[in-house]
Amino acid sequence: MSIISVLGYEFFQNAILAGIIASIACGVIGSFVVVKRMVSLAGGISHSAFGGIGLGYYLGINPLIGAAVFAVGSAAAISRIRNTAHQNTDTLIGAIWSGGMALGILFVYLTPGFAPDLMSYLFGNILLVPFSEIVMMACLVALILAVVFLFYNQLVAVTFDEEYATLMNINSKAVMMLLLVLTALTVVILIQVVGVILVIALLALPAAISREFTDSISKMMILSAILGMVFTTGGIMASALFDLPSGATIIILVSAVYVILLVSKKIAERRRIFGA
Amino acid sequence: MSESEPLVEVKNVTLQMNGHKILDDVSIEIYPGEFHAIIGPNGGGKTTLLKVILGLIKPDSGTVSIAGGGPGENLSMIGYVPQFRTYDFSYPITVREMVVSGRLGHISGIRKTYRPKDVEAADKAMEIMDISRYADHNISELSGGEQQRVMIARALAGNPKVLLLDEPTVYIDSPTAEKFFELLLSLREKMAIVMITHDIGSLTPEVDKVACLNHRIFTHHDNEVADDMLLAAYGCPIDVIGHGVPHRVFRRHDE
Repeated sequence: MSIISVLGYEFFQNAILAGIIASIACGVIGSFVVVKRMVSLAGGISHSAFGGIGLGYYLGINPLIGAAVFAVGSAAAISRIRNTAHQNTDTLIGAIWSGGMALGILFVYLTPGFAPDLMSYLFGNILLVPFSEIVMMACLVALILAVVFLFYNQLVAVTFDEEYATLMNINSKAVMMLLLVLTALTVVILIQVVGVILVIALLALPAAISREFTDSISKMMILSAILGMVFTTGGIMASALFDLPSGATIIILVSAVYVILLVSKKIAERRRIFGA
Repeated sequence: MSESEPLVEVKNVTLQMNGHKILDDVSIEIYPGEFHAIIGPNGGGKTTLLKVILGLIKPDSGTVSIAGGGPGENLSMIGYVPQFRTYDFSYPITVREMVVSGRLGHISGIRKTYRPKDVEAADKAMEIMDISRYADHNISELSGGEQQRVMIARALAGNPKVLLLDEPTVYIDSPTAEKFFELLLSLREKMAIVMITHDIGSLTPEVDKVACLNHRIFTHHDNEVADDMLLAAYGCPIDVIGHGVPHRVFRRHDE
């Protein structure tokens, strides 16, 4: 199958469109997640969403609605406990991470019959995203962008220096809760693209790569959104060409670029120090 | 506000954390134009006292009032310079962006958009701290001393009446420290300065009042560090802690 012939299919166009839309949320929220060092926290939120997917199957409703409820719920729980018991956040994330997955497995087991799209929720299958869900994704992204636009200065202040932001009359705890909920919504969007298990890489790595090339967070967001589009589009094309699973192909692509960047940075540093 | 009214009034503040008494009946008053030093051993509650003044930690008993206001009021009159070594300078933010964020306390609404006068205040603060040429640089590109000046500029951008500095001399060598104190003294016309430090050697004769804090506070209404005060605060002979150039502080003691 050549790229040109594949481009003619509607499902393929939909997949690329979904990737582009998801990349926007990914760039904006992923940048905050990376600079605030809450990548594992985002991982906890995304894995807990699987509990909601299982519940969705069990109740016979759209599993993504269940995922959204679980993701937002665990985001709220994490931010509450984060404020009261600082030392335990790490352990708590672990509990929410595997607890959510376990619930999902249990619900799927209890549901009579066969869970048809279970694999695509776990590992993503962007080539199967129907247009109606792309519209839903676009609405969610628009909502996320609107909220970030309104709270931009407060979000930057709190992610940079929570304590100082509090002194500046900003409700840091509420802003952090808002950021976690936005992260949960972004996770729900990304589940469509790469699935529950692979979400963290797509959320964090484009932002981590663009951080190396930018000096302010607004530029970091823009560059990482563009990188996200390149990686998802490239991954979708490669998966179609070589008949590979799309989610995994996207993640391997972005991870490879990140690792190459890290290694070449290390080499450049050594050359500077040793003058080789 | 009259000269006799304190800018900061801490009254009988007691605070326990995890069963330990961190602050025990601590009272201190800071008046306009004063240069206070709060000294004491590490773990003596100095940073905690600053955080109580800033309203970040609520005391178990006692009160804190800024310019006669109630709890949490008039916080925008305080400029805070946090401890340097606990700071993360890897955030993608430029010097100008960081300094202007010191204006956020003066801006209401959700968007908190910076107005021209906020940008002006930030530019002026950067000029005072001599960092204007780095305005568009990422903060991670600066040296330690320059980063510290950015933190002070951020506090100055809010036009504070009191400047609270937490261990400002830790990362500064002696010649730079002298310049640093000259700068603090030049600010003194506009604001009271409170500096906390565990290093008595870093004090200068220009300090108006010295208080020793080791869970309890010991004050003299003078800049001398009295023997009894130190003994009470540190519980050990003076020369052990009075390293560096203590004679500068003790000089007036003999008069």
